[in-house]
Order: sequence, then C-alpha cells, then structure tokens
Amino acid sequence: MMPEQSLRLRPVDVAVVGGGPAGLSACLELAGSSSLTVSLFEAADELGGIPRSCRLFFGMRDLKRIHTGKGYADLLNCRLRATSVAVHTDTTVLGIEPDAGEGFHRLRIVSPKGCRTVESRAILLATGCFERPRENRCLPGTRPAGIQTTGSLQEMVRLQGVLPGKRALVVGSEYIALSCVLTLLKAGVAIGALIVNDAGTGLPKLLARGLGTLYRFPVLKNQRITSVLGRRRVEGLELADRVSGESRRVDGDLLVVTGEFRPYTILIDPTTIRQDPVTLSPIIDEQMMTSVPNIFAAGNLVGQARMHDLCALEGRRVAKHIRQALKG
Amino acid sequence: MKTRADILKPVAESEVLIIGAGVIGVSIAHELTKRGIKPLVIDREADVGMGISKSSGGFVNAGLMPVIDALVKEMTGGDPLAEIDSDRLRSMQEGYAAFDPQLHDLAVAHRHLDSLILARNEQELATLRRLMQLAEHFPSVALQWLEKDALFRREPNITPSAVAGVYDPAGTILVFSHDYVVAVAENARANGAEFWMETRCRAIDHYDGVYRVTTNRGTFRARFVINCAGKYADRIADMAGAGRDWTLSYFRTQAFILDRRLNGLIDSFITFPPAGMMVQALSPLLGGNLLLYGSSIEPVSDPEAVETLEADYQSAIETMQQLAPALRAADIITAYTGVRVYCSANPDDHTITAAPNQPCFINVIPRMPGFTPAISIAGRVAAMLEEQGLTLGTHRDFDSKRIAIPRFRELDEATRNALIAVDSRYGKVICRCETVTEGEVVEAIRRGADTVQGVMFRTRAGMGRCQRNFCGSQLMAVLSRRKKIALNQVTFKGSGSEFLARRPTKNPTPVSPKLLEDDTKKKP
Repeated sequence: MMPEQSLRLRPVDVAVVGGGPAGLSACLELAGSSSLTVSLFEAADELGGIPRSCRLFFGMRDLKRIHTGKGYADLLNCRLRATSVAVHTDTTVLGIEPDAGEGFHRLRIVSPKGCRTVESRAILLATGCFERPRENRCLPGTRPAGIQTTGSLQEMVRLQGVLPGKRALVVGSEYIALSCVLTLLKAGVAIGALIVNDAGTGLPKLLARGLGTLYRFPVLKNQRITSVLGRRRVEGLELADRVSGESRRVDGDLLVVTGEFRPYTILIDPTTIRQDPVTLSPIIDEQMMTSVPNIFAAGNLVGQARMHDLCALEGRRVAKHIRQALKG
Repeated sequence: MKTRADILKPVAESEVLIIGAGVIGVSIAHELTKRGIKPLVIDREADVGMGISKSSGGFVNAGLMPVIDALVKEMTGGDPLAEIDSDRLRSMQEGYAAFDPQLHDLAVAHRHLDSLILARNEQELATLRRLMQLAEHFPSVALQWLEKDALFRREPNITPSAVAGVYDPAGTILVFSHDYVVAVAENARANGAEFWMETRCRAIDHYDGVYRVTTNRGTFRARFVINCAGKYADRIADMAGAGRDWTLSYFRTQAFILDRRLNGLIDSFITFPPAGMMVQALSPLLGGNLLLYGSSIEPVSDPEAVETLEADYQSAIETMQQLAPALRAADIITAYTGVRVYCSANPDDHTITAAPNQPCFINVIPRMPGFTPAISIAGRVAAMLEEQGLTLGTHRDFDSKRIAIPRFRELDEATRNALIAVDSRYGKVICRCETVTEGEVVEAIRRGADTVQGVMFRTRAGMGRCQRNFCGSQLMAVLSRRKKIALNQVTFKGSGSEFLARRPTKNPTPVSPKLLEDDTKKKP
C-alpha cells in the first residue's frame, strides 16, 4: 500500500465542482484574470454539461454568437484546455469537508486512478440541476420501461444515437418541453401529444401551439394525468380534463416528463452548508458565497433553472467574487 | 431438422423442479442443495424474487408481529391466543432463529431494528395496554412501555401528539428483500441448483412417476414438482391437474421510498396501533432512505394490479405527516405497489400440502409474512420430499459462504484503492446519487443480472434521488457491452420492457451518432 501522503493532490486555491456552463465559465474567468491555481472536477468523461446533448441556440448572451449545444460545449472546452486550469474529467467528488483546517476545505475525489483528497482555499459548487423524475412527481399508474426525462432522453439519443420510442407523449410547459419535442422529431419519433400543464408561463405555451400546428401533433391543455398505462413498456396515459372532468386516453410507447427542475444537492446535503428548506438549493449571499466562508455556488444549483448562457454569465461573476475573497 | 425425439428431449432434468424463484422457492432450492440434490428452479420473470418477494419490506420478525396479529384477531372477534401453539408461529420462530447465521454466511447486509408503536389518545393507549398484556403469553418477545419523555429521547422527530409507546428493542432484522433472495439463489446455484429465468409453464404432464413441465424454453423433467408460484400457484396447480380445493385471494399494499436526505430522522420502525386494514408505518432502510407505508390492505381480483393510484399517494402524504411532521411530499423518490396472496385452504397458516391425487406435487403457499418462516418452510418441504421417497443425504462439498458484491460507498479508502488497483472500473462512479461504480455494475452482471432492474436491485445504481436521470443510459450501455447484446435488446425487467423501440421497417436509415454530428455542423 502506498503511504497516505501520496493519495493527496497538491493543494489549490480554487476547486470547481462541475464542468457545465457555470463551472467552465468560472474557470475561464479565473484563469484569464488571476494567478490563482484552479482545479476542475467533472464526473463525466468530457466537459460541457447539459449543452452537450441539446441542439439549439447556445451562447447568445455569453459568447454573443449562436452555437449548437455541442459546438458551444466544445468551444468552452477548447478554450479551457489552453489555460493553466487542471482539468480532471471522469472524476467524481464523493464529499466535501468544509473547514478542514488552516484555511483549507477538503474534497474527497475518485477516478479510475484511485481515491484522492485535495485541499483548496475556495470551492465553487456548480453541480447543476435535474428534472424531477416521474417517480418524484407522484404520477399514478404502473412502472413500465419507456419513461424518461428530457435529460435522460437527450443523453440516450446523444450517446447512442438510438430510437427511444415510436410515439412519444411529452409532459411539460417550460421551454425544455419544446427542446424535448425537437430532439424527438429529429430522432425520428412521432409525437403522440404534448401535455401542457398549468404551471408554465405564456411564451412556451404559445410556441408549443405553434410547434403543434407545424408538426401536426395535439397540444393538450388543462389535463391531469390519472394513470400511466402499460405493464412492461409504456402504452399510454389516462388523462382527466381539469375543467370538465372528462377522462380520455392517449396512446404512446414513450413518456417524457420535462422541466420542474431541482438542484442537484447530493454533495451539500450531508454538510453544514445551509439550504433553502423548500428547494434545497444552498443559500448564498450577494458575493454568491454559501453559509460556509469561501464555499461558493453558481449556476442552476442555485435558484431556478435558467438558460445555460445565464449560468455562464453567473460563472464569470462568481469568479470575480472568488478572486476578491481570496485576495482579502 | 428437429426430430420428434429432439423436441421431446428435456432441456434439463433433476429429481426436483421448483416453480417460482421467490424467497420460498430459492430457500427450498438452497435447503435441497445442502442435502445433496441439484434442483431446477424456473421462474416467469427475468430475475429471482420479482413477485411477492419484491414488494416485501424485508422486516424479519417473530416476536412483535405475532402479538400484533393476536391483537388484531381479538379486535375482529377471534381468540387472540389461538395461534400461540400454532405451526405457523413455530415456523416463524425457527425461521427467525436461522436467519441471522444465514445472513452472515451469505454476506447479506442487514441490521437489527427497534420497533415503536405510538399511542396518541386514550383509545390507542388502551389498545397498547392490551398489547402488553397479550405479549406476556408470547415468550419470544420482551416489550417495554415508554412514557412520553423516554419516547422522545429515543425518537425526537416523531409526531408531537404521541403520548406513550410500546418499545420492542432489536426484535426485527432488517434486510433488503431482493438482496436476500439473490444471495440465497447465488449460493444455491454455487452448490448445484440450476436457475431458468423467463421460463413460463405451459403444461404439466405426469406419467410413470415423472413430471414433464413444458415451457417456452423447452421441457423439464423431474420426479417432484414444488409449486412456489405465489400469486399464480392456483394456475400451476391446475396445469398439473392436481385437484385443488382451495382458491387464492389477493390484497394490494403500497410502499413509498423517501429521500436519503432524511437519513437519521428516525432510527426505529414506527407505527400506530392496528386499526382496521390500515397500515401506517415509517422505517429506516439499509441504504439510508426511509420506507413509508400509508394505505389500507385492499382486496383486489387481479394479481397484477400493481399500479399506484392517486388516492394511494394522498393517503401516504397524510400518513407521513401524522407519523413525522418534518416529512414532505417532495421527499417521495419512488412508490411501489405489491400484491400479496392468501390461500383459502388455511387462512391462518401456511399451506404446505401435497396434491390429494399426486403425492409428488407439493403446493407451498406461505401465510404472509413469508420471509421470516422461509428457512423453516424449506426444511419442512425437504422432510415431505423425503417421506415421499426422495433420498436426501448431505452435500459433501457444500460451500455455505458467499462473498457479496463490494459496495464502494460503504468501504474505507484503503479498500477502495485496493479494488481500483485491481480493476479501475471501481474508480468510475456511474450512479452519483448512490455512489455506485462501474465495477459494481459489471460484477452484478457477471453474477446474473440481465436487466437494468436486476442491476439496480443488486447494486442500488439508479435507485436514488434522480431515478436514473443521469445514469440510465450508462447502465444500458454497460449491460449491452457486457452481455454482448444490442442496445435495443436491453430491458428494464425482461422481454417486453425494452428501453428502445425497434426501428420501424419503413425508415431503414439509422440515426447514428455520426449522422447527428454531421447534422449539427450544418447548422449555423
């Protein structure tokens, strides 16, 4: 067995957890404007986060140019690789220990090379968010194969280029529902229905109707899902009209529940970092610092799910705060 | 070309064929391997323990549970002490005593759990006092009365309306039910039992003292058939023409799994005194999640009525707030509905009987709960087979020890590094919510997990907060690679539950990743 010391990486000034738009942008900003040593930890085998598997409109507000999702991720990746930031892909942060002594926080990480610990003066948490899965939405019915979220669907289509179903039923009233519809159409899946519930704002609903007309699929409003049908594979949904109470059945072999994002707080839950009692997001101050000094949070881990470019801008902003905090 | 002889040739034969690989079926198989028999086990599902066993909470208890049963019996007008000398109680006590050593041999994760029954008002206090009185007749349980202070010292997060409670220290062994069934099956297989999954019975013939069981995977031959088909035991008995004078009735219950964030909120099994058919209970689980029961046991006519209804969720959400007010609906990460079965032959006891006209066809339908007495039932079935002329000896090289799949999350750093040094896949976390590595997934597949659900239940991958949102496609990819099957053949829980659609023949152009890439380049 190797001595204990060799399992510790060199201490750094800033450890960034999560290589999505927020984490990447923060790294770029830190590398470009300071001499702080920065390490980035990403669990997937490549950087980029969610945009890697999406299609449309990336980089409008941060890069001032429109890219595809993959193009956007690749660009940030390229830029980052040219900096001094130490990039650790395929590396999962297992836990963070705030205030591990002498002004350092400690992170326990694992990669195919082994378990390591790394100490850092500041941590930026940018672990993003995920869509509430079907199970968490208390949707009644059976538990067959063929139920996805946009995230898992796009990941499946991107990684494996496969056909996730023949006829999809999409639930959701946020922009992501539309992104999901486009992904499905591109992959060659027919849309059985788009079920728009009440929570959404006006514009996505309007766009949904437009898409429905364009691609000839029904957009159903004011529906409550009363049952998921199908024993082994999804066969359809049973819906009840919220107004008339009338019940109907729509057929499809794929159900995609979209939106209703929740922050991915697995790393924070066991720590003393204070969380919002409802959303579980870490509570941050104006400097985007959590309740633990020099642990910062940015991107979709805090607040509501926003577009990637806003997260990226927030990443740049938090970088400035980190720089200031470490100078002082 | 296949000749008639080929078709009739059995795919496998043995002295004993067990139909159904639930906890009862695998326990009997395990017992028989100990006695030198190499039984065949067939099951319609893609994995062992996928029927009633899957919906078991994994609470093994032979002390408090019979006392509660007695109380319920009294409340419904029966004799509470009728069971005190019953076979069933003995089988539960025997099974319970054998459980702990079995868990150690088979390296099944478990813990001993305290139970608390809470009273909130005078009526419930009276029920609990009666429970204490009845418990005196049951030597295997030592209940304690807890006043309010002591109760809240033990469990500070329970409902503030509790005024007193009955405490059963460490009387329950908690396992993850599927983990246990898999462990028993693995050990039985290591000692000679043969398992055939996704094997559905079509016909059972009997002549010349030999049973021929025709299935979708060919014909099996055996001298003895043991019917452990659970919810389908009646159909199997009918196939054999085994003249039954009993029927099955089905009851559905729901279980809700709550987020691991709540780990530590409670540390014992918590419930209210029995009231009608309502089950309200909250318990810690081994992975750190909580389990909630919050519905009534409801008779149903369809053994496959496993959908969770809107009303079930409402009832669960009300119950969780009654038990521990800190719980929220948003903490429900998943819900299950299970259907359990009762046999009319003897509603208060196990039905372990040979068919009247066929002494070599044995029906085994345990009276719920089935986990606690499983080992004891297996012993009885073996004795019955012996009586009918099966020669049982001892398996000379019986290896009672099993090594569990390493659980990365629960290992210390040195052990983790030792694992990664041997196989770097133990350093690749696939499921972030539950910290499960690719190494564990690969090992589960090597041991016989053929489906995503099989991998989930063996490793916990995908069972956490995000419910396969992040890791679903990776689990599929690993299964496809390891089993050398196409991605669209990977299933959730056996054939018919494929994740991907077969490509429609009209559109033969494959949507390959390359195509998608080219496509993105064209866009501005």
